[in-house]
Amino acid sequence: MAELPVRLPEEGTPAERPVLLLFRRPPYGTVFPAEGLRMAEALLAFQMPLKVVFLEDGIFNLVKGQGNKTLGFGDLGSAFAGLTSFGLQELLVVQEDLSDRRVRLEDLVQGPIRAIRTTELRALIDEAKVVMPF
Amino acid sequence: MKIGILLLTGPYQHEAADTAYHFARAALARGHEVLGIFLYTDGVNVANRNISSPGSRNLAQMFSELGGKTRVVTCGTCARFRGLTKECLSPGTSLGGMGALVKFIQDCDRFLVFGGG
Repeated sequence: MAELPVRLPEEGTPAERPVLLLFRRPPYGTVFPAEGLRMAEALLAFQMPLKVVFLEDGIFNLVKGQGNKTLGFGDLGSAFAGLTSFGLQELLVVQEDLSDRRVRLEDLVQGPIRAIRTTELRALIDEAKVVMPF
Repeated sequence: MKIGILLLTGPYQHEAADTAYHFARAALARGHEVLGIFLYTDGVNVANRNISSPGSRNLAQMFSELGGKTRVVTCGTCARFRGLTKECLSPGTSLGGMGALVKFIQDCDRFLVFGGG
């Protein structure tokens, strides 16, 4: 077996490279979006550099007016928007995945949401120290 | 190389736990330092000492064995949600908070995630 290559960034210390959370799953079908939200809150509480991207069916986590208290679920969209109170600057969402699902930016919760192209997502993955899929 | 691991999937329904175990074991055998394995969401269930798997691999024993060579930390909140108490944990595994995960991330050269969305 070949040795694992060590590739460290040329600029910045490893601690400065962000953790990238990718939200790929829709809300409520699995535990992953809610647990990813909890992970984001924890990483921000520890002042870890963090970027959060919603893609594929994960974009539905940001649609406004969701939640079902009868079933014991809260409003994940508002909770994600609330990450800004933990210090997150923006929520990123992949434009192509919005378009494919006929969801507009104005359908999403209020907050600092920025649409990115998949090319930018690729750069974010390259830049990140850790990528966690939820 | 210093390696951190996050397991997001429980035992027996998917093979992510098996893959994480075999990866950690191989990395240790090659002389790499596995800083720790953080068990999150259903991944905490691999630390359940009550697992009984007649005729098949016992993931609790496997992760317990790894616990002698690296830290195997079970997310306390995830464990509580699943009724996994301290007394239920396999030897070599422990309950911990997100601070342990953050430390693995900060100190590692590479961080691998097994399972997830």
